[in-house]
Amino acid sequence: MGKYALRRMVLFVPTLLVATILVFALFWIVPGDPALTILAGGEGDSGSVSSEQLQQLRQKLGLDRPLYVQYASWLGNVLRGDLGTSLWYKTPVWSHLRDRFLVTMELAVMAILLAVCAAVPLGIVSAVKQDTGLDYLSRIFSSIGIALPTFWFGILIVYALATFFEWLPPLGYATLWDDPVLNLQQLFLPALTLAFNDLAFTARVTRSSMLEVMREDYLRTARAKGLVELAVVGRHALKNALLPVLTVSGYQFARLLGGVIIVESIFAVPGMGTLLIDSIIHRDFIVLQAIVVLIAAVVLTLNLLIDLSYGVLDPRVRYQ
Amino acid sequence: MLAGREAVVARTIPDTRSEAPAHAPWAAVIKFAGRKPLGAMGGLIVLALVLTALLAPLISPHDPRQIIREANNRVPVYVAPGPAYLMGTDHVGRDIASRIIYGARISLYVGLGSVLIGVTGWFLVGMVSAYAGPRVDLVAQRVVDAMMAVPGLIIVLAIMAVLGSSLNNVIIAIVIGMLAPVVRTVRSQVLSVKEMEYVVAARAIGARSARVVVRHIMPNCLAIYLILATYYLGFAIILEASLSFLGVGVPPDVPSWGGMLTAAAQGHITKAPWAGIFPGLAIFIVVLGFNLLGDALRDVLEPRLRGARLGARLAR
Amino acid sequence: MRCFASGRSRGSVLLSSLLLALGALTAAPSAAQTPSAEGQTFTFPWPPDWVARGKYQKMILRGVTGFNPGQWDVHACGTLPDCLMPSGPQFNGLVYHNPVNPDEIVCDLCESWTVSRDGKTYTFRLRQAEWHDGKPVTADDIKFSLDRIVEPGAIRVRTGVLRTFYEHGSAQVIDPRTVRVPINFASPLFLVNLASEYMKMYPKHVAQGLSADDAQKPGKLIGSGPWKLKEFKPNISIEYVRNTNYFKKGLPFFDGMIFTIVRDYNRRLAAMQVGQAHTTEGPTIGSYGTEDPMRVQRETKGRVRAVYISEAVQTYLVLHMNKPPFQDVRVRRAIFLAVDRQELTKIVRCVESFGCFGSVGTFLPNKGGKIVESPEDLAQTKGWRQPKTQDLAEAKALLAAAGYPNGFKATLNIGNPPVVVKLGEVVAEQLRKNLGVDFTVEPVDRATQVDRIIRETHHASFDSSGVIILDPADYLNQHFLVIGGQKNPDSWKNPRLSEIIQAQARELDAGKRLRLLKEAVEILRGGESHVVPLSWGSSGGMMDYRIQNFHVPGSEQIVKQFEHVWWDPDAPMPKN
Repeated sequence: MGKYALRRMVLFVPTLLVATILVFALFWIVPGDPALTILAGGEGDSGSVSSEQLQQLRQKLGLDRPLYVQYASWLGNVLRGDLGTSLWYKTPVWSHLRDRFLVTMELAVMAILLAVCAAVPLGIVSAVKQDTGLDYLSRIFSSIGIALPTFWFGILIVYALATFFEWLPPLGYATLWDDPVLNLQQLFLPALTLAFNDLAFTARVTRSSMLEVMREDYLRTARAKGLVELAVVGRHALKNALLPVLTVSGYQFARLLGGVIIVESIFAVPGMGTLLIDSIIHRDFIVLQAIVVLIAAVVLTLNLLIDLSYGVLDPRVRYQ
Repeated sequence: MLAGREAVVARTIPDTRSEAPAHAPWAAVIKFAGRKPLGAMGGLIVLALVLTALLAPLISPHDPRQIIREANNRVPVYVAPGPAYLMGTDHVGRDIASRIIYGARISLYVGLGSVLIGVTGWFLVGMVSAYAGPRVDLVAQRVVDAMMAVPGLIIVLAIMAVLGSSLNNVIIAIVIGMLAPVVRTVRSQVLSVKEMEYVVAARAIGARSARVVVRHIMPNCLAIYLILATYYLGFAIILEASLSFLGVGVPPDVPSWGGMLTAAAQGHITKAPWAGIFPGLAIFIVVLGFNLLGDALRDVLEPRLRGARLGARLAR
Repeated sequence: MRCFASGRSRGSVLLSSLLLALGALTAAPSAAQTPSAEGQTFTFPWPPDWVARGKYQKMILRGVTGFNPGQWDVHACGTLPDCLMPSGPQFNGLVYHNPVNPDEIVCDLCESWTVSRDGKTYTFRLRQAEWHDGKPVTADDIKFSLDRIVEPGAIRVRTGVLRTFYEHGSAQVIDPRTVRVPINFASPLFLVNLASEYMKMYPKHVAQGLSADDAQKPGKLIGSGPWKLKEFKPNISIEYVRNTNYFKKGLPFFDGMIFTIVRDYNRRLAAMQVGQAHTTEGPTIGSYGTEDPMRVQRETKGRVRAVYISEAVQTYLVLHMNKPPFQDVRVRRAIFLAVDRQELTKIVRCVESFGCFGSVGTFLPNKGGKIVESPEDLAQTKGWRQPKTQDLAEAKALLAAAGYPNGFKATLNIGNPPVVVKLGEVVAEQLRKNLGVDFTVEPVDRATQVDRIIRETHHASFDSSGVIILDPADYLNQHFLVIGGQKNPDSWKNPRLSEIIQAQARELDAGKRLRLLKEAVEILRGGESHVVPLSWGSSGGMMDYRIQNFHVPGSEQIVKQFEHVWWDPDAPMPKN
């Protein structure tokens, strides 16, 4: 198992390299560059920026160098532990990433917890009452989240709260340790929106996993022994059925890190998602690269941990 | 968000009660409907979608792209639903009902287009990756891992920025967004089928590789293909809407549900709720339909995978 | 003089001496017509009477903004919201637009100025003011700042226009509080350019030690202005504290300002609606130029007040001449004639039971109290007149002559804000219906859009121009003075138009200048250039009704300070 983990970790390097090259290349072919976003002005605000001025700024920002030179210089800095300087803010990228990363992590953890808390009971009900009205109801309910675009769901929440309750989560941002109440007020709704989107998937896994476990021999034995159904579900089935739920939640977590983008901007959460959208709007690919590296590293590590956890939790699994 | 469908099949243990479908097609359908009422409901929704798309010119009261001009050249902007306009009019004075009806075509086009190209193409790539030997597999999986680790939205936004907004470019973006999850799912499925007892047994008694693929692996993969395709049809519709919201969707005069929903979200949800409710409902019902159908198909078509351990499939 | 006749004038609240001075100033050209031996002096004593009325309530002004700024050196600003808006409140100009009567130019850091008889030398007498670090503001700082604004080789998108008037290094320090500024030619436009919010004064001892990059970082540059930057938290907020030592005694009225950064437009509207914020960044660019602020005003029963600048932004079509069909002037002219601007404006800018938030407008903006085109005049003009039948017939004939009797297919590059997309949809539909010209509308984000305009990848593009300088000539400068680049990618030129642009900047006689501008409009109405004007839109914003003394300026680019507004908790709620 140690050897397996080591081999997987060695593979991180080419994967990360491919990811960064991918993003670098993408942003090279995308129209527009940081010089434009700094000088050209927005809709209704455009001055008359001349081509010479743009060229001058491009030169200053080093954007006129060949792509491979830019990539090599970026990579060199990263290897020396320097994620670079934002082209938009002109301050070190790390100072921006540090705080945003924690915000997004908190949001993702909250969303996963909410999703699991709702999905597991729904999935169990579905499995125990399989093919009854209750099963259908719970499955339709859990599917609402994936059948509605996230942005629409988020906007509906904001509108409903503002219109009917004249209340909205407070603006600005407070960290969990500075002001937990404020923090939870700000993150609860976006977390709920994300959780709702994940509900269907986790509930589905819980259901089928429960169904399978419930038909296994030891449960038949338990039933035969005359244990009442509730006890069977609670003591025997649940324990085994939750393993896949746990692992699926791990994968869902990684996926959430990508999914926060829209939710964060609708609910004004200052996390990685808003930073990412900003860096795309400003064509600040130095920041974008750093985000990609960070997210990729988290996702890869998480995947590895999940895979390794099988060996610990399920002795039948062998690593190759 | 792109990774949403990642390995839907691979990580889900099938409902083992179902058996292989009966032979007579109608009997099979009726049996299916009886056993899987939700799946049948999904099927009906999909059927309704297809019919709406086919009959759009016949049942649509107005031209979906045309701004309506009433008497005195008056343009009916944001008129509430009523006898004149069944679902009201939108922000520039077009009939929402007609746009919803024609939107069925767009949704089906985007969904089928991206599924036929994306799921098929990446399906083959996934199979090749699983079969072509460790070197190809290693390289292919690094690319897939990399795409998986980069938030899909970045890739899609970049693609749309390069190609510009058009219906076909949205399909291309969705197809590329499907790459990682589909390849990964298919690969792990093929690998697990490859090592199932009966396949191993067939090899052991000397069956040729091609025969093994045709007789044992293909049927399994066909099931996976159908299931993936159903889920991704719904997924493509949701993604199309999200692209519109991010400002890189289909051109605005194209009556896509996502575009309508976005225009409504950016306009007046309180003043003209109908502009958002109807396209939102359309998306909701259709995606729900695809998902319910997919669930049922998975239950029915995937019985032979019951023995495969979730963990064993993931730990590669 | 027109200013005092206009409804917007607040003449009655001004000191009478101020009134006289302002009156004389508005008529700067005519003042120069009758020069005295020493030239004319304009004096601005402090304080005006509204300062005494401003009740000081101990509180922080809370705002919402949609922008996440990255540039803080005002001289090098390329944009309003990402640079001037956050940074500007720390600084003063030498002169500025009177916040309570924005069409007029008054002293900011100066106390008075004198114009020489030939109109070619301005002498500014400074007030006693201090920089945020306590050092006095001197004539040396002013000379340094003017030179920095026109610094050769530096990127000066918004302030570079001063190079036309002022030669680097030519200002003279007469004494610590007097600076003499010679200009290249007598011009009615020098002061209005100097009053631009981008022409801020910096302390020499701080600014000269900063590299161009460092000056762009928040908090590196300091000013003399009403606000000190307390903290900029990217994507969260911009916080300011009151400059307790501000030289305009009694100002500002708030203890501080916090602008929370909220990217999502709907979330900002909702924040105003539930009272989480007192104000937007004033009436400004963004999507507020619609009925949305008015709707929030109604829904909050008047607690939130909608503020609009009418005719703030012109949206226009750029026809790219690098490829067929628009290299053919007949095709350009056909498009120019065929757009139904009345219908377009009605569909996109007007909302039933709310009214219109924009207009068909004119070619040049009627700003700074100067009317070049009147609406009556416009109603007779080709391309604008109704009904459209006559113009459409001519357009079809032109297309047929150019070889496109049944129209053609083309691509349209536009931005993705909702209002712009809406405009694009309607224009495309009109041209499809009227001429058979089938545009595929491709909305993209701003950077892509501008890149495509400059590289001319599409057949046509949408873009929009705001009024930066309160003068009709602003529009001519933006589109036809800088050749090449975003506003004139094809380097379109008309010799007579170029002559007029030069001549009007030197024409001190208001009547003659107006005739020149009218002639420029006549040339543009020929529809031969790359610009097809479509519709003027409003800039909008929202403010709590208790915020007092805010007077709507003629452009979103001026009066951005919040130094003159106060909070009156007892103000009567306006009837809705």
